Amino acid sequence: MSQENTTTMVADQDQAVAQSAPQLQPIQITPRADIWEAEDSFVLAIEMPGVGDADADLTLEQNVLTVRGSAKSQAYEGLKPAVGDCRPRQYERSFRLSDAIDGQHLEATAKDGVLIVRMPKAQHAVARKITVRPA
Amino acid sequence: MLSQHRLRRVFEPPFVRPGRLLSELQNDFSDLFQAVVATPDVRTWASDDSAAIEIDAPGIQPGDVDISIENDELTVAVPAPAAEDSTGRQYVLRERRGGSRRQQFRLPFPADAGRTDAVYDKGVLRITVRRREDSKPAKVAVRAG
Repeated sequence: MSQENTTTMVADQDQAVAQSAPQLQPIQITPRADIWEAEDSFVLAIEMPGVGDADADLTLEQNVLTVRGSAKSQAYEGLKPAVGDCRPRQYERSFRLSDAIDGQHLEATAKDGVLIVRMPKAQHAVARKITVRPA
Repeated sequence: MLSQHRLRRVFEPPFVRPGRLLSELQNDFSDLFQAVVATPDVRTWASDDSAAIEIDAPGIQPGDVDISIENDELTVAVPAPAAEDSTGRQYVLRERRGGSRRQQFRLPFPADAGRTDAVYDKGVLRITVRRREDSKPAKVAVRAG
């Protein structure tokens, strides 16, 4: 699946889709996420372009995991915003975790704008093999 | 029921339509798509002799990005995110889009391909372009006749 797009950029603010507002209120974005189940954990991959390890924030409260990230473009000296919304981006999304997840041992790492959160399954939720002993 | 016109507007990707305020389009989406908001994922800045473009492209291989310049047109082909081995995965939630993208930009000046720089950082592709030196308007001094 591929997309074709054409964007015309003009320095003339009248014609442009300009973000010329003096206030730099960040855009609030709900980031896209994938969650899949592995053998001993669940993995959450959440897309937050522009967000590195230091810009991401995770909090777990009452089984609700909230992921936040902030992304800001650098200041381009002498350039004015042309097309697109050039404001800083604020990502936020919450997930309700079931008891099957061990909330004490979440691990998160950001790579290329994707935050990967590894959520180990709680001991009781990991399928265990029970060996049948001879009597 | 949405009218035909409104339906068409809602399903067009926002970044294809210059001349429309992004916030206007986000309002269209918010009625129907409560859970996930389309990311405003292309940002540009420009002056008379240089321009900067940022494209959000998380999880790609920067070596697979193709950038070409012809006069005042800059074309960026962004590959699909790096293929992970996702066969056999049990997805609980699947929203990330996998496709490639091609974006064309008409710059306000003819570009100097030799002075174009592209960086991939934290999932953002950042391209800076400068105007071709020989295309700068030349000043002509008026002699007293």
